[in-house]
Amino acid sequence: MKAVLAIIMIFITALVSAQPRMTAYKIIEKAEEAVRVSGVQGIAVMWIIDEKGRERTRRLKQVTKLYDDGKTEKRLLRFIEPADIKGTGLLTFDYQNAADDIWLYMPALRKSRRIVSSEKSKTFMGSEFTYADMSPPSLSDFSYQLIGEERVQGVPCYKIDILPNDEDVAEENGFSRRIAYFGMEDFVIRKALYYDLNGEIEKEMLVHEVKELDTEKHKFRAVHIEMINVQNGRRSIMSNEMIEFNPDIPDEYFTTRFLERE
Amino acid sequence: MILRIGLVCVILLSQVCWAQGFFDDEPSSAPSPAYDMNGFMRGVFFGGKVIGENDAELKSGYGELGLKMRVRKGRIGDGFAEIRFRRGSEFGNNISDVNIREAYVDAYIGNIDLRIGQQIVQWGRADGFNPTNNITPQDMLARSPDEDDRKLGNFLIRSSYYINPFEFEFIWVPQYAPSVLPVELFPFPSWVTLGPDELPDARLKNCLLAGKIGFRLGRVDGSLSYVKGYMPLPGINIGPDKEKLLGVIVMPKPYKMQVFGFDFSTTLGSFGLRGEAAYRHAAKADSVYIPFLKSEQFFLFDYMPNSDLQYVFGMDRSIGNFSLIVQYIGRYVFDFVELELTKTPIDQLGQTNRMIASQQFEISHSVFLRPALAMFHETVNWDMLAYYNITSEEYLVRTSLGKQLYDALVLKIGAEIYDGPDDTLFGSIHDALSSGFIELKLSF
Repeated sequence: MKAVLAIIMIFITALVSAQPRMTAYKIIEKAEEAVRVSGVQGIAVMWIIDEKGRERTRRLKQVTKLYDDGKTEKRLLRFIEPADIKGTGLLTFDYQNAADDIWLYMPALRKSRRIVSSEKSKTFMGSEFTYADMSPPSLSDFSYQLIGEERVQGVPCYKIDILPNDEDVAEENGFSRRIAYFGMEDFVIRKALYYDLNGEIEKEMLVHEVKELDTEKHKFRAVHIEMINVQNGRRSIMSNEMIEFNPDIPDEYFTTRFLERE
Repeated sequence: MILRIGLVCVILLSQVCWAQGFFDDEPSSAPSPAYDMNGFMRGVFFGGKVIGENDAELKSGYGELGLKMRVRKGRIGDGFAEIRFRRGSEFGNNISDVNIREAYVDAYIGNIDLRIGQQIVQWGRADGFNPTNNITPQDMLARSPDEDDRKLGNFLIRSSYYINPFEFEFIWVPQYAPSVLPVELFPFPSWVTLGPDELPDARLKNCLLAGKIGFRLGRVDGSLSYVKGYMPLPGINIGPDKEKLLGVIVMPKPYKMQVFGFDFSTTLGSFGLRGEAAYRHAAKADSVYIPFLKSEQFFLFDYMPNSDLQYVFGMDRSIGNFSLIVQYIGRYVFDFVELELTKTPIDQLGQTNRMIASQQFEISHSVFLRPALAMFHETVNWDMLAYYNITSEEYLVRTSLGKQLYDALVLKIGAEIYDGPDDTLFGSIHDALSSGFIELKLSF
């Protein structure tokens, strides 16, 4: 009997030790999965602070919803402040394996306009964030390497080195290398270092607050993010003053018809 | 007085009450106001050249308050109004205007949207030049750094029905509203007098009807459209001047047309592609012989243009914070007949009509460029619109450089230059409308 128990224990131990270690790609997949919430609505404030401490404020509303078994995320974003850009909206259909469909609505044009999705390196409304920071990247465009484990603001994290697969991807996303830190427990990003196209460190992103939106499926969102440009001394802060889990967001929100309703 | 009453109304309406807004019937911890009001104040100065001389002059200078109010009723409907209060000087005259630019109410009934009121309609996916856009009139004399200010609202009923991936839109314009033409600036012979516009009344037969089917198929957005009725851009008609023995009077007069349109937009790699085309069919049977100079002699005078086909094809590309739109614009005029300008004065007037309708040539080709650059973290923005008609050799350049002094406070300088040979539209308005400007605008 003892021999049988010993064999079982050995077998179990062997099984456990045979489980693959967490690979960089697996971590990235889990990180992307951790923030894929079936439906979210929120109001965010963005402060753009220049090197002299002068501040500009943007306030925007955003709704997101998953479609096609989570393979497509649709997002509607609309600025409500300041007054000169109020009503400007962006509708994105973010496909997992294809280029995004994006429409921009500007009140002065009085019509929505289909725009090209490849210019993700463009700064987002004059901030230190880029359009690439506003949507999950295409996983196959990058290679990943687990280079260590570190604590970020008290949270144990995996440290992943992310390299674009070619120059086009680097230019499109605006960085030549990105070192990202993901929480070991929730797989939510806590920090990232961005290297410019010359290989120099350019920006540091810090996540100050994470919120679990879907407590049943354990889905999260970073709700207070700071992006510091170490080259020019500017920084931008994106903070959610309201964010809610809502899987029942009406489908009509994700139409150009609704986009054009200022 | 009107200004005062308007301001009092606005102040009374600015008492904010709270209800649900963007997320309407969804739970929300941050309520939105049931109505919101925003707008701008600005001071604008336009300077240019005295017509026919080399002196500089104030072309236009004014202070303006623009108020926009939107009343929201969640997913049921909303209302919108924009009022402009302007005081200053334009074309040498003191002005004190109150202009209700738009005022309409929307109702959202299932898949149907209904909008009734004074409104501006913008059709067409090309940039700046839209042959399918024949509903909203334009004010060609508007002096504003904002291109949108050239659009004039008119009263209409607009309804849309959505069934994925299609959108069916119907428009009924019961009362005709004309575009404002710079008639005084056109090179009329000295023996003509300008008369008042001949406008159709509000009879049902004079209305404009329009329909459009919009679609999204894969990565292509597009639409097919049809418009029938009086076109916003009038022609110039003539008639005998009852006060002068040998004089004639000229006056803007609208004409009916049918317009069959098509447009599309898509993306190809890093490029955006857009196209638009419209065939305008002139109901020439409506043309009449006009008794001229109180004699027994009749002349055939067409104030309405020929049928034509207009087409636009463009590409756009962004590289970082620089963007560029390039478009080709073409026009083919059906049944085109050369006018012998030296033959009769009537032919000279006919040529003016062709100039207004851009039909001086059987085939014409134009290019359109719109570069824009956002600098210093989008606190400094430069943009330019350049249009050159290769066939008529007329051109337009409009450019501006805006500096955001603070959030919503923008100082802008710029210029708009029209020029071309004397017998072209831009050549005619060169001295009067070419100008430089400075604007200080505060949005709230």
